[in-house]
Amino acid sequence: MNYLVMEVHPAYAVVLDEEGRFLKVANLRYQVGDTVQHIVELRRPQKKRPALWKPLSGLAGLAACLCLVFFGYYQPNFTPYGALRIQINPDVELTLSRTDRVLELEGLNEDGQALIEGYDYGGKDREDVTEELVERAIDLGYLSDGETVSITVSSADTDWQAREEQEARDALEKRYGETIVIQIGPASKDPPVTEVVIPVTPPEPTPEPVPEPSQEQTVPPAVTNDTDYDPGSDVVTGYQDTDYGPGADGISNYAPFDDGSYSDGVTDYEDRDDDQADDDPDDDDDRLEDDVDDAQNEDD
Amino acid sequence: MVRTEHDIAAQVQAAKTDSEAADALIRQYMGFIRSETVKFIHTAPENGHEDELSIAMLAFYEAVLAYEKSRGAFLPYAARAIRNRLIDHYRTEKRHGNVISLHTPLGGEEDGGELLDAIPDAVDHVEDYASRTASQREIQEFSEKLARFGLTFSDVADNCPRQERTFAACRRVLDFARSRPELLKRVEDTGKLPMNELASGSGTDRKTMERHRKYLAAILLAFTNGYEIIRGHLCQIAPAKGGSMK
Repeated sequence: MNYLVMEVHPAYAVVLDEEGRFLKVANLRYQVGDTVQHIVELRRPQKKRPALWKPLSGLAGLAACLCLVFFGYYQPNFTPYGALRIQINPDVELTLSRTDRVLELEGLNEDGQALIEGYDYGGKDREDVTEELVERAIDLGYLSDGETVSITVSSADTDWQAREEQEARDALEKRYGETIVIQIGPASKDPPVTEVVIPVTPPEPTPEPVPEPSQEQTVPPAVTNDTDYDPGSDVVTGYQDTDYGPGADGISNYAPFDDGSYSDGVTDYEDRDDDQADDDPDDDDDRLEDDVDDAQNEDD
Repeated sequence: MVRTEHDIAAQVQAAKTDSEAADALIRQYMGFIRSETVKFIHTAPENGHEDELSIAMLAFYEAVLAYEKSRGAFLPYAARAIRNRLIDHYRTEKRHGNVISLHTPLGGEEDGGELLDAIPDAVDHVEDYASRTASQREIQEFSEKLARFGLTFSDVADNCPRQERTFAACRRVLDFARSRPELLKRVEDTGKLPMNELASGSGTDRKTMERHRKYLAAILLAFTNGYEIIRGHLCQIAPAKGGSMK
């Protein structure tokens, strides 16, 4: 093929081939108007390569990002990893992710369903939900002082399970340890694995009435200075009674003890009692008289 | 003046699109190209290695076209390009390896002439010179006409279809235009390609024509009046052998 040299540049020449192509070739000392046979054609940079992998690389980057998001964020946060069961009387099960996020909340019995009804656990973690549920249980009256909350964690990961149990218990104990019992393990009749019982001091003990049947059952004691067990005694027994606190009934049980040997019938305590119980002035006096009578009867 | 790599990169970037800037850059780095060539052929290019120097210059120009900032500093890149191109050149030359030089001494005598002297000179130098000046004049004319359209041969060569199918499509356009001398006349007069007529007449995709409009303009102009030599050169464009146009 012959090529007609159309234009010369220092580094290349433009030639026209016989089919009408214009080509850039090596300028082997050509002059315009020359006809040449052998040419060394210019190699043009191939621009297709980057166009091929560029969108693909973007896609790969996107896929990598997605993987990162899935394995780094989504999976630990949104994949069920274990379950935490709270048994008060309401039985509630929380499905937890690895990062303690509550994924699901399920009531396992009717009370449990009632407990979680209307409760929004979205976006909360285990600590918040357990605390709020216990709070709710207290509000709804399922849980009162001295009762037991049992927590059971189950997961394939035993380390995680143990840690969760410990943390859940610690968190609850810190808040409610004074009033309720937190127990790990199922709330069955078997003795619990771990039980923490904090002695409960009831803030508002109700004064209990005198148990009537105890009077019939109890036999009068051999040495009767105290006439509480006497069938004739009409007042308090003194054992379940407290003289202190708001529930005190104002009757001190020291009076009967005082008159053991010298029953003169006048004690310091009784003076105070009389002052207080004006409406019933004869009460103590009667008892004292009874006491004396009893002692005399036994002596007889 | 100290030139930094940054300057070179800017120059190279300019030379990619501007052929004059490319020429200037190559002239400026002629020493570099020459030194790289000498490193490869281990002798001065003047001792019968002028072709290698030309190839090295072409390789430098290719490097200018292909250079990207991500490929590192330009000069090492160009040096590598020159080296690779020269290696390629030697490999292709080896194919016709059993060729003896025209400068081979005759008969081994010291004072004897070279092979070149013994070959009878069949070429008519006077006629050759005449035809070359004629074609030079015509090409010059053609080039001026292209310049009126704002084109240079470099532009046309850059715009020339390289894929066989595209080239065939352009050929169809040309064939169609040659059968309609009035279209060619209009191209010459207005300097615009009548895209619609050409597309509908030749059945070529309009977009393909748009992409290669510079090339199409040049090749259509070549088939307008004058340019006998160029048209004669394009002998392989067979159909409607030019005669209809005169």
